Amino acid sequence: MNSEYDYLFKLLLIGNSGVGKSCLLLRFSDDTYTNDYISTIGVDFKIKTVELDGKTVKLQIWDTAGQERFRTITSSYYRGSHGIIIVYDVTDQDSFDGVKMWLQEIDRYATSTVLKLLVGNKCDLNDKRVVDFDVAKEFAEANQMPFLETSALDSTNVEEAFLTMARQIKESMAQQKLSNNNNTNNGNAGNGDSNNVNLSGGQSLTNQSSGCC
Amino acid sequence: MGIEAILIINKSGGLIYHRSFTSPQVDPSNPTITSTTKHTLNSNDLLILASTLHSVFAISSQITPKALQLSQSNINYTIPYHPYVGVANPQTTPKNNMPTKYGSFKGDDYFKEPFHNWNKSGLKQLSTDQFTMYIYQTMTGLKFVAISSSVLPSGTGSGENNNNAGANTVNINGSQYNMGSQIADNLLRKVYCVYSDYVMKDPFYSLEMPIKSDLFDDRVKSLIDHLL
Amino acid sequence: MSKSRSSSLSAHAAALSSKSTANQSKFFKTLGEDIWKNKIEKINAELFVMTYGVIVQQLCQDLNNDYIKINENLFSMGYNIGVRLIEDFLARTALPRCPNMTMTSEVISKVAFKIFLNITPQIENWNTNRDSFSIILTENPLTEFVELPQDAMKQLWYSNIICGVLKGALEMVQLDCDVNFMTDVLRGDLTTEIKIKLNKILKDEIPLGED
Repeated sequence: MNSEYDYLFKLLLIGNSGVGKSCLLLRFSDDTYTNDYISTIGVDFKIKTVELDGKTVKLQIWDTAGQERFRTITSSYYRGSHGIIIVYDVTDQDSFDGVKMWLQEIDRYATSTVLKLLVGNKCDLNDKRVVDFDVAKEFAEANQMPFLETSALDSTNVEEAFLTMARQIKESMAQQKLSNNNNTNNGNAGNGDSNNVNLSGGQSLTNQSSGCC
Repeated sequence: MGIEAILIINKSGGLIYHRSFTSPQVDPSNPTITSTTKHTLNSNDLLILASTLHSVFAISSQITPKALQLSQSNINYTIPYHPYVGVANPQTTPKNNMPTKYGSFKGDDYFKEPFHNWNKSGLKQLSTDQFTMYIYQTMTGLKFVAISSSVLPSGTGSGENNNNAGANTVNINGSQYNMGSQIADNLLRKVYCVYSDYVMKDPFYSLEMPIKSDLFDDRVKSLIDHLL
Repeated sequence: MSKSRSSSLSAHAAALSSKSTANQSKFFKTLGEDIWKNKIEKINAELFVMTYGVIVQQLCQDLNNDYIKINENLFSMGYNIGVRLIEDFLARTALPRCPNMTMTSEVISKVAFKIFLNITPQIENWNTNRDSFSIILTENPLTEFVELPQDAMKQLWYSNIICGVLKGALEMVQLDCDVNFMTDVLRGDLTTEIKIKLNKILKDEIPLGED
């Protein structure tokens, strides 16, 4: 009963309402769908089981729809997240502007080593696009996070994004022990390391994403 | 006290341990229905159950009305000790059946004094006609959950307080204590003790990740087996 | 029996909520001694001292006597112990959260050091904000048979693992602290002193339901 999976990673999905967070998830997780009733407590869960290096990994995605109502417990959703996916809508400038606010939330509530991923959704609606790919990419790079665009038509990118993130988390878990070694009472060498992991993964993701749209 | 399952939820709301203790028993009157049919939850359902519980726990801690928070500032959060919950009682167990020791915990019980309950405003207990769920949260944010097949009668486990039979609460220092909840807290603190030995001191265990330890399994099973 | 239980219950609660520091201090002393004597399994002290000694010695070999790096490694090892050992400490003592650093210092000295190392170090050198204090190790079980070589005396904090343990354990109960050695008799100092300074209380990480 207990040995069904080796790792459990907590991923958090955030972004303005209506950007298609749940659509994105539905595309990715064929494992479980939970119904809307759970949204009433401020969070919905999706689970995807993947194999990494012969280990069974459960990615549990916390979809924080409607969390405004329970603002006070936001921190408990961010706590212990291994990865955070920020979603915006390429046809909605407000949702892209909102990303800054979401990054502040992450700074405040999540651990500094958390992996981030920026996703521009609905990129098939090219005629309605208001957020340029290059603008978003530059923004993502400035904030040291990988970036990709997705659409309901293109699922490979989504799958790839989640898998890359899972792989990075697993790597950074091994890395964490190393960075702890540098993290002494005198120096804070640890922080730089984790960003490097984040960044290098980011480049590979960005390359893949350029193929979309 | 029939314990159906023990769950451990890490501080970020992830289920890291689940163990069910109901053995498949065939109902003699209807051999096709087994008692395990009650448990049809797969591992994903359990993950969602655990994280939902974690969220509801957090919400419930936020909805205590302000007035109540002020008036209850002198509540006593001490849990009484119930002797030998989940361990062999030296008075009734033949000497050769007594375990020699409980991990790094010396003596014939893990602890022997009343103890502080860190969970003050969160969910402690959730009941239906079929089961009761008890939650014990540690200062580090771990949640230990016991699912019991029934609401506990008073006096279970310790064999005392028979004068209270019928009432499910006892009155200590003016606070109402639920007997089932007390016994569950005693049991779950012991699961915590076992966890601190067999999970935390296992060098190959990664923090916050699922627990896959036979040694831990055995110790938890032993606690459940020794419950009446 | 029911009556005696409820009286011990109120005694326990009273000691913990007592406003008098002297009462609290006495309670922690008794608690630490009781756990050490009756509730915790022990291992052979020489084996413990030699195990630690061989770890430090191996680090010296592996890191070519780079004592700064060795200090860091010992600290990191300690940190990884601390974040796990705190669960043992809490499961064993079930003490409530300390309302201030004064009580934290009492718990560290009279309960934690007592039950894990059978020593009760002195607490001294409080700053005016009362968020920084020193632990004076009048005896140190790790250094029972140790004499540092000349070149190590200037840089090596032989028992630095203890600082790591304290750092990791305190962090798990949401106290972000700096913990480091100030002096060590092994280096020719008159005392062995560990300084703990509270940086901040990690309020966002205190589990919901506790207040």
